Amino acid sequence: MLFPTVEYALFFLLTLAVSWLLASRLAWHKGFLLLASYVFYGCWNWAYVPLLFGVSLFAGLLAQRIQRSQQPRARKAWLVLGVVGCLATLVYYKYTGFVLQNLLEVWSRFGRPPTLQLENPLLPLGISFFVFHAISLLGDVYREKLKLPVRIPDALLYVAFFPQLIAGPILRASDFMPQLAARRDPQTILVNRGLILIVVGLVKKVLISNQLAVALVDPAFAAPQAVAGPDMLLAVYGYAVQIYCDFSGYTDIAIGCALLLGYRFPDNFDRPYTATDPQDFWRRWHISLSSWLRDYLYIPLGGSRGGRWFTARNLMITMLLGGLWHGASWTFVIWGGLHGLYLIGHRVWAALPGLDRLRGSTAWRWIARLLMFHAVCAAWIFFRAPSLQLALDVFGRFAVAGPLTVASGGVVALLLFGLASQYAPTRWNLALENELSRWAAPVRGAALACAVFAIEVLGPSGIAPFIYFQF
Amino acid sequence: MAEHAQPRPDNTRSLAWLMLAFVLGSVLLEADGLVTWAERLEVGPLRSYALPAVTALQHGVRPLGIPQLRGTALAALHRLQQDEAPQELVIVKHDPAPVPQCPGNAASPATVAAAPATAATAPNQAAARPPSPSPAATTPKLPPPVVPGIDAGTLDAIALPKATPLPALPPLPSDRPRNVVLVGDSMMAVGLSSTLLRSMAGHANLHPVRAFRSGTGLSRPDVFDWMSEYPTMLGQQHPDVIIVAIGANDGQGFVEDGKTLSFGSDAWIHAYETRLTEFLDMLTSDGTPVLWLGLPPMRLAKYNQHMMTINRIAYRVVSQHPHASWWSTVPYIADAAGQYREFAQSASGNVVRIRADDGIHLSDDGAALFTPTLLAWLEKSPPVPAATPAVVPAATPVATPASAPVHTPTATPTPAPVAAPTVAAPLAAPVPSAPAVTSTPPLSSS
Repeated sequence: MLFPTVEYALFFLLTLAVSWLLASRLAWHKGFLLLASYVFYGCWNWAYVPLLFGVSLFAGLLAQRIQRSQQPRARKAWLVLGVVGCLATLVYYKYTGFVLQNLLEVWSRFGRPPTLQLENPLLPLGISFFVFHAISLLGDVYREKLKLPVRIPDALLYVAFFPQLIAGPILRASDFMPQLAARRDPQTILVNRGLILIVVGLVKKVLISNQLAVALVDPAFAAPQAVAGPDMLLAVYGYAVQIYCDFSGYTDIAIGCALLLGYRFPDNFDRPYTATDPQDFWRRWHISLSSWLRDYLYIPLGGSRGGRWFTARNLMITMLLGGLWHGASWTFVIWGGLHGLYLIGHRVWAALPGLDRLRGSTAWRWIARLLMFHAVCAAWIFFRAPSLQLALDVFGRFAVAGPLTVASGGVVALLLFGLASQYAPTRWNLALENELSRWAAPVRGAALACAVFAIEVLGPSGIAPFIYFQF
Repeated sequence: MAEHAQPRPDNTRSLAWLMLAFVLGSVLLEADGLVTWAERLEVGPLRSYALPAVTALQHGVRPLGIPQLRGTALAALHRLQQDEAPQELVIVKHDPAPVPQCPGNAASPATVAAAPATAATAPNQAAARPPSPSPAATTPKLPPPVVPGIDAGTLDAIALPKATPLPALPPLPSDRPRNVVLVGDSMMAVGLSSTLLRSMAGHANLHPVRAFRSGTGLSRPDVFDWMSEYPTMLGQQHPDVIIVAIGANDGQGFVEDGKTLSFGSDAWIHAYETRLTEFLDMLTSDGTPVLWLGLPPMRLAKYNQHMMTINRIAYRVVSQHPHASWWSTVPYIADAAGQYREFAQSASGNVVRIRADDGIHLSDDGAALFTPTLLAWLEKSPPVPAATPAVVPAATPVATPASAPVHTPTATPTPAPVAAPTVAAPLAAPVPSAPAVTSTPPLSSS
């Protein structure tokens, strides 16, 4: 079930109504949300609902074991068992094909590979996200960040809660499980903020991301050889805006829906293309993933608690695995590796003595923003291209002179709007929220209907699935 | 959420009023849109409940005059798009339509990102289309088939050729590149078109024309009507050869003349056969040869079975058509038994995944197993005979097994194949040297 569809609208309105009617009976309320989440997931493929249930039950049971164990060694053993089990599930479903392909590739260098009928399992939707939720539960219980006793129904709902199930944001068990333990307060629903997020998310997804994909990015990346430098460059910028609008649009809608249901999700994006350095970028892009990788991978590896080389090693491992998490392909590994190099390079630059005045100047801040944006765009080429060769072809096209044949004035305007919106002051959102709170509820409802109507009319045909669904 | 915000919370009562107003407002503004949505749902229980409900709603609110706003807005937008869209880019606006689902709810080809419905990438290369009325309006109808129609009982007897030669093409135009129109649903849009477009980029004598769109087919003209959309997608360009890959979304029932036809029923087969014939007639209205790519074997058994049904009907129609040729990708894509496979060895010897994650579409590497053959065919220009016919008919390159109740067209000479399928060394046992006719590829048992 995609967010911008009639089916989801009907599903959500029904779920919203019933969940608030059951708000005073916590067990029923949560049971209903769990059922709704399985229906939401089952609309894609019922066959994988048991997998979702199994992974979350497994994590919940092991989290209970960790909490009940007194011995540090036993706690660690349960943690390792849980994490290995979760990762094995992820590896089996997501990386079997990748591993097999590379094994066969190596094999074929030495002889004829076996004639087995090998297949990659069908990739369950959102598996990367729900496995990371399960690991977060185990990790937070192990580190005693989550002190509440884990209840299995809560663990199931935490992993499967439908707004975040397919593409995040990745919730921390220590943030979300306490919310599940408390009764929803029917007096403090952040309706206006939720509605603004939903409408902004729909605009990003339906009006910007889809249009850029159809009219610019897809045609140029399908056959880079057929376009000249200016088109290719605009297509790369276009993809930077497209993926931001697509993914942040999804999480905006997810956060907005959760707010209407009475739950708080963490922020996932904070105007990432205004970042002035790689570290800044990762504080603004897919925040829930970057902080997950920091807390559950980078810091356990040792973080920066060592020499420069030790830190560089940890940064590179974290980013390479983060790249691989996005997809079973070497292009994603390269994307992660590039970001690892950016982070390491920035640390070297930041340690150079005598440059504080330059670094602090406004001019440098804008130069740094421009450099950072282009470094991110260069990495996006590997992220978007289906093969390494095609990514290199894209770089090659930049040097080819020629007229624009793909990008139109309207598309370029959309692209510029997408970039400029990154610089919109956050106080505008707050002002709008406060303004809305002065409006009567029925007026706000009518305004929402008008906004959805306008988006529907202006949007292109059909709704493309969100890019991050595949991860 | 951001710490600096000062939330002004609501309570459930105001939330209820707000949502009620939203629902009422949406019903008023979107009544027509909801009917369009319901009409486009896959034929099934949801549609049978939703359609009467939203139609009643539409009748109820129409006298208020508000729903007409939507029609006005769409018309204005359409005008604006026509004024502003560059000549080579035509984006056809439709309602956001829930797309047909594949069996098993596996990632459907229809759910793949909508491909651009563009008409050209380099309009300056395009030759002006000969002045002729819209193909849709002037489609010359073939005489009704003289052979008895097929039905569910006789369908299985149609044997699909496993490997087929490519027909001869008219000579390359001397004054411009050959316009190769890529037509289809996501089977063309994903993997195949991009690989073909990339290959053609280096060939000055070939000019690709993109006329594909994901999430479409011939089952549901109410969702996307190829008969009216194709001329728009083609624009002013003159097609020299058309390559078609379509049908992945067609394994579903549809409503015709108020009757629901379930997939695979006799009436469904008959209707689909008629639609295919009309579609081919439109594509070839000026004699343009069509190469119809059969659907490759699919991963899920039930879905594969549906696609084999589509293949059999399409093969029957294509093989009877004077301007169309059936071409099977099975020797390249399938294993030795004609079944689905995921890995193969590329031309350069690397082991590659040839199918997308969904087990339906081709990956770029998969398409690259046979696009060189297609490129060689497209570039080949047979010597011009003394008296060049105005239209060189594309021959039907395959014979039909005696057991199959399929009428083989007479009178059309079969030129020698231009390029025999040369298969990159497969991972499994080598593909047998393509016989003209083989038995039907076995379907998965489960």
